[in-house]
Amino acid sequence: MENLEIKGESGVYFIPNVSLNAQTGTCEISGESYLEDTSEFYNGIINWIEQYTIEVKGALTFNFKLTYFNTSSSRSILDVLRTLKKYQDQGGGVTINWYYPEDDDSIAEEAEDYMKDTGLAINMFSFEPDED
Amino acid sequence: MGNFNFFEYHTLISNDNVLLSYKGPLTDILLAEFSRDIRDKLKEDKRAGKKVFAIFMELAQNVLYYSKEVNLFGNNDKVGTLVILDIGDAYKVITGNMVYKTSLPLLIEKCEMVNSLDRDALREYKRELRSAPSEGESRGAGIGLVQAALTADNHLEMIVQELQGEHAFFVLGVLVEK
Repeated sequence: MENLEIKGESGVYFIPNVSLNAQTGTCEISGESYLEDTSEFYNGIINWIEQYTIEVKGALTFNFKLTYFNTSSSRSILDVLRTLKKYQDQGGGVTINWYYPEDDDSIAEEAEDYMKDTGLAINMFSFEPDED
Repeated sequence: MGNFNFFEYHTLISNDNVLLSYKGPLTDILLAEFSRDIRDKLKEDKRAGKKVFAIFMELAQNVLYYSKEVNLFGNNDKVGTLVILDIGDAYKVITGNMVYKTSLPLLIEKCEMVNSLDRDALREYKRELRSAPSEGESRGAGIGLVQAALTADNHLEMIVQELQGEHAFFVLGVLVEK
């Protein structure tokens, strides 16, 4: 199975970096998320996870390291987490790490809210974002 | 020039406390430019600056989707007014746009509901809105307002001016303390 790599960019929209590795099961979404077609973008990630759970069936570690996302992205991230929860419920190994910028309480709060919404355990870590 | 005093207007928007002032058609490209400009101007004030940026993005996207005033030249872009002020110990993000009078009651009800909830209840309400399937035309309306209030940790301020005919002008303001 192929890896999914998307190089983030900041133009008219903010596209996050996406790196989903089918060999190691380590996945990361980082940067900023404000997209023209949010569902289409995140459906690509959800489809990759679903394919992985059918073909590879290995453990998955998902690292979220976002510094900004709009409410539309926050809906789609919930869908990604729900997909991961489904895999966990089927017996798949799932670890979620949520990195939030140390000066941004609202991104930390988002992880708490996602835990309530999905029933997933989410490990939380603060980090110092790179200066542009 | 009638009653319009250009110099008064120019002095008003040239004031140091006006970080952004725009009235006209809105596009995704313009929003991106404004957002970069805001970040640049507020980079010394990271915590509040990021809040202002995030609130501006949600409110401006609402204007972009819902304004009922359309620029009839070119691409029928939505028209709106965007203002960001630095008022000393706080920033204020203000958006204004035309709405149908008939949609005012629901809009006001949404804002009043947001204002009636404490932070925990507001987070709960946001989760509810986020879990629900997107409501057709609204493209997530409501959740942007809830997020703006949460990010600002403040109430939404509304001003409505009824115009002749079927339209009203709707102004929304959010204060972000420094």
